[in-house]
Amino acid sequence: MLISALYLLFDPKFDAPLHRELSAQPGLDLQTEEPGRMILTLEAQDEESSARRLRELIGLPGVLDVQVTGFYSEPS
Amino acid sequence: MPQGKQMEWNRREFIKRSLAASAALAVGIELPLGWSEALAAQADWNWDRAVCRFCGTGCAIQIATEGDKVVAVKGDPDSPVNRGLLCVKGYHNGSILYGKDRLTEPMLRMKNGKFDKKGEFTPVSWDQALDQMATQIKKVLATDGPAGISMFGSGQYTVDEGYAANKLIKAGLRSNNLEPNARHCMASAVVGFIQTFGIDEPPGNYDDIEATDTLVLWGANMAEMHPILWTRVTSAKLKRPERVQVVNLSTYRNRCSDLADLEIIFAPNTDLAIFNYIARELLQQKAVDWDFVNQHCVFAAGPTDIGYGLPKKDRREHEVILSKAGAIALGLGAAGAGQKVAQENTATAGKHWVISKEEFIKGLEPYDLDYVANLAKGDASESIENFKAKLVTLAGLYAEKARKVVSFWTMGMNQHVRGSWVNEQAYMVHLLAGKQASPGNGAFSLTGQPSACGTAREVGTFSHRLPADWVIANPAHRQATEKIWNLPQGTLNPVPGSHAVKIMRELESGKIKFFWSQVANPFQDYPNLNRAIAAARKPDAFVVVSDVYPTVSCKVADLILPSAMIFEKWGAYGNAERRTQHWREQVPPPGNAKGDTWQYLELAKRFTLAEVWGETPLAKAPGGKLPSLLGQLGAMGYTPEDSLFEVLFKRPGAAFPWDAKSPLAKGKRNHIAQEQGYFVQKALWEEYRRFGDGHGHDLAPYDTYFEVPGLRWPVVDGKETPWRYHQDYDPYVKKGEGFNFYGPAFKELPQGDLQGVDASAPKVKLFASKDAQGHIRGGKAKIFFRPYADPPEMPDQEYDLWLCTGRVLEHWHSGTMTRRVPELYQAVPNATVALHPEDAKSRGLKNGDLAKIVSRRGEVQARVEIGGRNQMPLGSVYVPWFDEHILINKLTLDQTCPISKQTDYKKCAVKLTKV
Repeated sequence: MLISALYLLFDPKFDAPLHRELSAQPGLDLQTEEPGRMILTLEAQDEESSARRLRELIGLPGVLDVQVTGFYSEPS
Repeated sequence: MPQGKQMEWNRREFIKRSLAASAALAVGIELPLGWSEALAAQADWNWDRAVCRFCGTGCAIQIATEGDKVVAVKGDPDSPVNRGLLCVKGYHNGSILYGKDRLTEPMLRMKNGKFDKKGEFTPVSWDQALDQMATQIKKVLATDGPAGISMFGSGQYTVDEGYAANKLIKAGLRSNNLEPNARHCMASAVVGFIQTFGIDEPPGNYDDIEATDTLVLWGANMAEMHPILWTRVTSAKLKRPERVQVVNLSTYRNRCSDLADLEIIFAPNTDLAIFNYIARELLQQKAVDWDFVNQHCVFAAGPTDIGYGLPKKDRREHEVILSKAGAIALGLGAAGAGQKVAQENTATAGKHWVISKEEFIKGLEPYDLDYVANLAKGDASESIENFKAKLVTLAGLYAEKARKVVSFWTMGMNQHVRGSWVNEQAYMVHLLAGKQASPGNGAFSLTGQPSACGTAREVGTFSHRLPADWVIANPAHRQATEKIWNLPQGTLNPVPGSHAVKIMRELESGKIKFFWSQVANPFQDYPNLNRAIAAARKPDAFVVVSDVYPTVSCKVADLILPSAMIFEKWGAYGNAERRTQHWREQVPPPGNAKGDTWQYLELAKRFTLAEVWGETPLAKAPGGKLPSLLGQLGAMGYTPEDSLFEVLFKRPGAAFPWDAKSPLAKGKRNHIAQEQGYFVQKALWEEYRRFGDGHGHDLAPYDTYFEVPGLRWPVVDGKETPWRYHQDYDPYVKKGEGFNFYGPAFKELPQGDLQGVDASAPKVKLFASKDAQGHIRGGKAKIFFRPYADPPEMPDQEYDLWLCTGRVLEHWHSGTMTRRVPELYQAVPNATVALHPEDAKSRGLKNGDLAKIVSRRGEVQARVEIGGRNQMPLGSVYVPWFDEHILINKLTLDQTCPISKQTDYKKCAVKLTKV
């Protein structure tokens, strides 16, 4: 299990479509937000998909920047 | 729901809530009700502060360990640098330790039980490995002297590693051939600082991002290379969108352009001309802060016939034929085109002299809008009028009196055949405008590596340097170093060693026969790589590579030593804002891997003073030799049978016992201290900081750094220095001085004009006085005039494209660590060649096709990428260098800035065909 906490900065003009887009994504939870920025958690079973999902987030309309603030991996 | 499933869900939600709570706290978002419990519960995890392994930003991280494994990483919310954030590489700081092919045993090329250059890698014991190294070094010392020995480290050395390496090679083996890969990374920045201010490293700090109104990026793709700083830039822009302006100057479109208010795509090398245009505009618009300039600055110039750092036999090191643009740049007008200019100052490229204000203004005269726009426009599809309008806007931002401006750069300006010049031009513009060394104002050189500043520069792991800005060539500096190191007088070799590119040329020529690489991957990162690899495999060369994974460098080595990684040892890094940060060993190294400092100490045990401190041949030294030191040993309490370990490390370390139960140890291990019998890292630090005390490089006691998220030097009376040279912030500047550019280097200069020195004019001092402690008062900075110059290799009919190399967000340098993290590898598995759609079309290429890229030096194949993150203008391609299967440095040219000796990886000519 891989869990990342994400800090996402976005153009407030894209608030509504961005929320729609994010709420449709599996494993992605909006934890808290303020205008123009939000904290998300992203859960992935597969290591590859974790990075792919992050890249996809960066590419969403209105997203200006995404940074990871924390990362947890289940010890093997 | 079954109970087990319920518990798993709770645990998962708890972890998510904990990580999110930390994040919210870090970025200043109010915690939702009840979340503080999740945050408090994290106290049960075994967290400790450490530093990110990757870029020069210097993000502090919190690491959680469970047993002997790192299980979680988060940004340190207490860090003033990253404020709890981490980038995609940063949060894999734990994962990089766990690649399946970690090196765990020394490996020597052997045949029939003995070392053989053509043998197979065979596991050996540390004793066998180190004995073999010592044998090889002694053989080379006997035949070639210390000039035959070399070490190659990096800006990823911890402070204690770089310091111990410096001591071992420069004092122990009396060779100055120690270089870091930082030579390829920021040597031009160093020259810019030393020649402008007389002392190295940035005056400002990252708080400039929030304090400024304008962020100008000069060839710095911060969004990918300094992502956390980019987040701060983005936040600053979002907070004050109307006032804050972001400018992205680059030779291609990159992710920074998404946020930028102004994007300027310029042709390679023409940043030199753009800076001069801005300076000229400052004069024309009466935007020069003459009060500041007259009180705190002088004007300066240097020779322009300095070559390109190519091998001496290259014709371009002897004669340059001026292009029309090159002739105009030198004030010769278009009629000067075709003129042959002898390169007479290749060996004296760094000399400079004071010129008058009138001469400076005269130098800028040719750089009007027409000339600069036509020279610098880098995107063929853009109209010249549009490009001109952008240059006018850019100059206007610097000229606006009430506007604060910060200029950032990294490799785009440092890896440049005129890298030292262009760094100095950044200061030129800021000093003219009076926008330097105050909050929100300054030219700010970012660094690429985590301790390029803290180790390579401050510790002085260069062939010409000693700690704290002292230099080999200065007898007083050598003498003071010998005193701190308790060495016999004359131990230090007075002849500066060979710089990085020259070391490789000397390995090729046979002048250097022993080459030891640590914390680097030179046989992937050197330019003109085919020659370097061939040099390593020459029969009389012995190459040692200390590494953590089997790299390209390991493949060409004769001996591989398994090293501990960052959190498997105690260490310290110094970042780009002068912040030094320490960390503890979190987990043990795997197998028989050992910290690099351990390796130096163990090797030092294999040399007696009698073996290394006798009379030694050295061609360039007075009398062709280094003197014997053996006669002085008795008076110093040494004997000829003492080992280098005893004299250089153990005795100075005796005052620093290792106590595993101390509060400082915090229950953590220290494999090096435990095996060597004393607190090695603390002993080295406490000795090292004596170099900087009292002259602008002051550091705090070792233990202090474990109580705070780093400190920015100079640290005086327990207080760090946020902005240097400014009376409100820097303890070395007295109240009433306003500014004092007190750096001591090059503070007494001859006078002259743009053509050269006037031998009849007296030298001038660039300071008012020195106080009782010898500190400069009223020190002045230099405003250099530096002209545009064509690079030595430009696209032509056969090789018709510019090649620019660099990095990508997901991978660190040569990919040794990040390509072993599945997420990062999968994200960007291979290097691609980015190019313009028209360039692809004209060659019959489309996205994903395999292309052959060829320069005069080599060729590689890579998949075509069009419309990716980096969007190239017509005539330019970009290939990152992280991929060991696409060794793009086989194509690059071993050209350097002639002053800094830093390689220019950003421009050479290539051609492209479909495979």
